[in-house]
Amino acid sequence: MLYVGVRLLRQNGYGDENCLINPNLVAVDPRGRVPEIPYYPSYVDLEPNARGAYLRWLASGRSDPTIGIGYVFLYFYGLERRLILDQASDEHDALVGEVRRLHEIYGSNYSFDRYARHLLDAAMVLEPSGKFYDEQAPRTRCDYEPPLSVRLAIGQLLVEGRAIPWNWMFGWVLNEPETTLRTAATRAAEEFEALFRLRFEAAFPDGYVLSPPKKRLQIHYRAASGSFFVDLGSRLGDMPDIGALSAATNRMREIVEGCADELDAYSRFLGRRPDGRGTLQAMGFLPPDLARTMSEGGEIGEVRLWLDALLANGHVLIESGELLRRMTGDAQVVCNKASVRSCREILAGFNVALMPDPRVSVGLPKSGQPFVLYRCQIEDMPETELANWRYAALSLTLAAFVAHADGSVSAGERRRLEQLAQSLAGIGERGHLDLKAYLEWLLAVPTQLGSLRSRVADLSAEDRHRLGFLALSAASADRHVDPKEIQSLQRIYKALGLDEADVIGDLHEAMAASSQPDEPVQITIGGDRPSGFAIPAPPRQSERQQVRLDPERLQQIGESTRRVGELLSKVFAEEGDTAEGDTLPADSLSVAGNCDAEEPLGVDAYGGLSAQYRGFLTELLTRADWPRGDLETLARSHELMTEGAIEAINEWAFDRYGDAILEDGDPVRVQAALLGPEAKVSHA
Amino acid sequence: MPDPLPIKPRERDVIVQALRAGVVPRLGLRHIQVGRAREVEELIKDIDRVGDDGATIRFVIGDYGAGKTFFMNLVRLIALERRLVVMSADLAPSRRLHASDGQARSLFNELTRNISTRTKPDGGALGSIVERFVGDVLQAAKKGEGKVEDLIQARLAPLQELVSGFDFATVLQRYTQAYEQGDETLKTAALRWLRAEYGTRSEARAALGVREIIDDDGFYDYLKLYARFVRLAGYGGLVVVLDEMVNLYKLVHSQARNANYEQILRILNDVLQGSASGVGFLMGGTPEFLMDTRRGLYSYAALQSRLAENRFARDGLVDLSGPVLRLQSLTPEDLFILLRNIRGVFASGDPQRHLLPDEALTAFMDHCSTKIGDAYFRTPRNTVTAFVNLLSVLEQNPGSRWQDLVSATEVGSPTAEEEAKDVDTGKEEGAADGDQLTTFKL
Repeated sequence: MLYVGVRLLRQNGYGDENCLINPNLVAVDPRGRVPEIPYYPSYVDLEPNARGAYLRWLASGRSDPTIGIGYVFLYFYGLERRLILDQASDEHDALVGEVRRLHEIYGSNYSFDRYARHLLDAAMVLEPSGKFYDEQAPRTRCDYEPPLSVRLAIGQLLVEGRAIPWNWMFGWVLNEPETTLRTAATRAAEEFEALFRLRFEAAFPDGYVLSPPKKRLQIHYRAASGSFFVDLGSRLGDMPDIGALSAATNRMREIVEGCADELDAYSRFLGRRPDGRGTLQAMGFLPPDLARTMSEGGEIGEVRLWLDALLANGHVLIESGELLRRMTGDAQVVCNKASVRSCREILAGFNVALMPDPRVSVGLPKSGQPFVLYRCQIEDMPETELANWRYAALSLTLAAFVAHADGSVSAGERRRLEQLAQSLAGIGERGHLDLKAYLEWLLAVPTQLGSLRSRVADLSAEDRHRLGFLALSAASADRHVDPKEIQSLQRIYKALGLDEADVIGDLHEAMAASSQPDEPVQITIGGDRPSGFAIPAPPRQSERQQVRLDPERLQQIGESTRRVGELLSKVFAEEGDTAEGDTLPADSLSVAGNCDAEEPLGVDAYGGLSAQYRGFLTELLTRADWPRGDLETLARSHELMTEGAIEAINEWAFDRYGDAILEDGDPVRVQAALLGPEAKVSHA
Repeated sequence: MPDPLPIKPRERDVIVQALRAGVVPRLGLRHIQVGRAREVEELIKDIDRVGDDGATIRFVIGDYGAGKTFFMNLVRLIALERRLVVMSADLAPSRRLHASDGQARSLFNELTRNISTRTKPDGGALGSIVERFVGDVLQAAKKGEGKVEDLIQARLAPLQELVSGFDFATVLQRYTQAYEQGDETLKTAALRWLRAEYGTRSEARAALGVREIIDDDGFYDYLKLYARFVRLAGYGGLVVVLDEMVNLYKLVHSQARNANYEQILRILNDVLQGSASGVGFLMGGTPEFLMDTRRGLYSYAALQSRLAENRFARDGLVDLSGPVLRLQSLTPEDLFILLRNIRGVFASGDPQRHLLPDEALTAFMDHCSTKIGDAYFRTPRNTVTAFVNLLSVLEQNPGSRWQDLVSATEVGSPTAEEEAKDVDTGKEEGAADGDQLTTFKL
C-alpha cells in the first residue's frame, strides 16, 4: 500500500507523486518528537526527522490518533492513486478497507473526513458491490452539497423507477446547503433521525416519488494530492443527477424543522442532563409516538409493568401524589401544571392518559385527590376541538355537581351522566374517551363551585344560561327533583352569574317539556358549531322581529289539539248531539215513560222531566219573561221552591236539549225555542 | 282544520265576546283549546273518579301566562258537564286555607259564593242546590213518605258521621221551615250560615238555633260535608278549584305558611289514602309555589316527599298520575294554533268561510312581535284580543285586504285598548271567578 522507489511520475508526467517514498533520501528518527509538516506534504520535501516520524508511524500500524493529519494525508495520497488512477482492482477491497480504517481513526478531522468519503464514494463507483441504494445513507451532516453516495443511490432508484425511502431523503436534506440544523438535531441526533423517519413515513408511506431531472450525473475524482484527475462517468452509464433539485429538499426541510421543534424540549433536557437519555423523565420530553419506539431501559420497563398491572381492568384512580412521585422519581414533587404536564407526556409514551389533563381542562387534583388513568391509543384532540371539549366538560361538571347534591351519586344518576357524556356533540373519539375519564374523576371528586367561576368568566350570558339549563335538565331527567338538587342548581346559577331565582321557572319548563312524550329533554350542545364558543343561541331568545315556527313542534301541537278536540267533543257533545239529531236514546225514552203523560204538550217534548215540574214548566212557557216576584208566586202555587225548580228544569233541559231553558236573572227568561215548534205554539 | 266540530251560533258568540273582552269563554272552550291532550285526558279521568265517589288532588303548575287559569276553567267546565258541583276561588292574602283571623272562613265564603252547577256555571248556585235537595224532600213528604223533618234527618243521616254534620242538617231544616212559613229572613240566615258568613256562634245561635258555625278551623271538614251533601242533592260530586296558591308561598310568616301547608298535607293524605270521597281538588300555582325550597311546598318535607314526581317515570314513559301536573309555557307555535282555532270559530267550523289564510296568521304574529316583543306569545291575551278585533273588521268589511289591516289597523291598538280591558276584567272578577285568559291581574 505504499509507493517506494525513486521515480513515480504524476498523471501529467511532470515530477514525482508526493507520496513516493524515496529510500535514497535521508530519514532521521525524531525520537518521540513529531515535527509539524505542511498541509500539502510531499515526502521529498519533508525534513529528515519528519521523514523519520512518517516511517515510524507507518511501521507502527498507522493508527496513532495523535499524529499530525499531514502524515495521514501523505499516506492517503498513495492509497487514492492506487485505487483511482491505477485502478488496481485486485487490491480494491484491501485499499477500501484501509481507507475506512483510517476514516474511523481520523474522521474527526473535517478535511480528512471529506476526502476519505469522496474516495470511498469514487471507489464504490469503480467497483460497485451491489446497488448503491443498499449502502448506508449518510446519517449526519457531512457536506454542503449532496454527497456522491446520495446522488448515486437516488439516481439509481430513479433509473429503476422507484420511490425514495426515508434514509436517502434524510441523507440528502441533511447535506443540502440551505439546510440549517438546530441544536436539537445534533444534540439528539439519534432521536432526530428516528423522528424524521416517523414523520416522513407518515407523510409518504410508500416513499417519496421524485420525477427524474434532466441533468445527468457527472462523476470525476480530483485527487486530494492534487496530482491527478479521473473522469468516472463512463463507469456509471447514464444516470440523472439530483444535485440541483430543490422542491423535494424544501419539503424535507419542513419535516426537519418540524422534528427539530418537536425535540426542542427533549434537547434542552439533554442539555441540562447529558446523561438523561433513556430515563423515564427523558421519555416525557419525547413526542409520544417516538417515545413508544424508543428502547426500554430498566426504569422504563419497570414502569410499564406497573402500569400494566394497574390498568388490567380498565381505568383506575390513583392518588395524585403517588402518581407524580412514581413518574418523576422526585419525592418532593408538587402537583402543578408543569409536573402534571411532564407526567402526562411520560404516560403518553406508554399509551396511557391521565385526567384531569392540564391540556384540556383546568383544575388539577389537590393533594390526596386522585387522577384517573386510562388506556388511550388515539392521538390527542386537535386544538380546534378543545373549546368544544371544555364546554362539554363544563356541562358535565355542572351535571355531576347536581348529582352529588344529595350526598351520593346513585346508579341511575351515574347512568344518566354517562348518557349525557356520550350525547355531547362536537368532539371526536379521543374527546369522548377523555370525557368519560373526566366523568369518572368528577364522580370521585365532588366539584367545588368556586373553581367554576373562572372557567365561565369568558362565556357569554347566553352560553352561561345554556349551561345552567343543561344542568337542570340533567337534574330533572328522572323527574324527581330533590330540594337539595334545587339548592345546588341555585348555587350553580349563582356561580354562572345567572339569576338564581330563575332556577325554579327553568326547572319547571324542563320538567314540563320532558312530560311531553314526543319531546325528550334536549341535552345536546354545540352540535355542528365550528370552534370557539359560538354556540347557537337557544331558539327563542334572540329573535325579535321575525317569527319563525318550528314545523315539527307545530305538527305535534296540531296533533295534540286534534286529540283534545276529540276528547272534549265527547265530553260536551254527546247529549247535545242526540238532541239535535232529534232522536232520543232508548233509556231516555223509558224515563219519559215513567212519567204521567197527561200534559197538554206532546209527551215527547217533556220526556224525562219529573212530573212535579211539568205543570210549572207549561205555565212558564206562556211568557217570555218572568219577574222574580211572579216566579216565586207561581212556584209556590205549584208547591215548588223556585231555585230548586229552575235547577231541576234546566238540568233536564241540558240533558234533553243541550242547553238551559230558563235563563237566570231578574226577570228570568224562557228560551221556549229550545223545545221546538210545539212549545212555540203553546207559547203563542 | 284540526277541529271538525260544528260550532253552534250561540257558542260562537260567547267565545268571540269573551275573547274580545280578554276573558276565558264560559262555553265552547273545546273549540279553542290548544294541545295539552294528555293533561286534559288525565283530568277527565280525575273528574270521572270524583263522579265515582273517589277523590283526587292535582297541583296545576305553570308560570305566569302558561294558561293555568284557562286550563282550570276548562276542567271546571268539564266537571260541570259531568254534573259535578264546582266551587272555585282565588287565594289572596285575606283568603287562605288556614288562619286564625277569619281568612280561611273568608276563603270558604268565596268558594260557596262561586259554587256552580251546569245550569249555573257562573256561580251563585248554592240556593239552587239546597232547594233541589229540599224540593225533593218536600215532594216525598207530599207523596206521604213521612214528615218533612224526619225525611231531612233521614236523608242527611250520612252527614251525621262527619264533623258538624248535625248542625248542617239543622240549618237545612231551618231553610225548609223558612220556605214553608214564607220566612225570607230565616232563609237568608240559613244561606248565610252555609256560606260561612256568621262571625260568631252566638249570632248564629240566635238566628238559627245551632251551636256551631263554619269558622277558620272547620274549613276542610265543611268542604267534605259539602262534597257529601251535593251527592245527596243529586249531583255527581264536588270539585274544589283553588287558584293563585302562590299567595301561600308569599306568606312571610313561616308559621302561618306551614299551617296552610299542613292543611294541604291533610287534604293530600285524605285523597291518597282514600279517606275522602266524591271530592276533587285542583290547585293552581307557579313553579315557585311548588318548588321553592325555602317557602314553597318543597320546604315542607312531608309534602315534598309526597309531591316529588315519580322516580320510576323515565325513558320516555311519562306518568301523569302523580299529583303534580306541569303546564309548559306557551310558544309561538301554540299561539299559531290558537289563532287558527279562533279563525275556525269565526268561520263556525267551516274551512270555506275562513277570513284569513295561514300566512296572515304568521304575518299577524310578526306584527305583534315587533310591537310588544316576546310578550305576544308569553302572555297572549293582548294578541288574542287584537286578533279577534281584526277578524271582526274583516267580517264586517268583506272587500278589505288582510295585508292592509294587519299592518295598519293593529298599530298601537293592543296597549291602549288592553288597559281598558284589564279594568273591565278586574270588575268582573269580583262577581265571577276571575276567569281571565292569563293570570295577570290588576
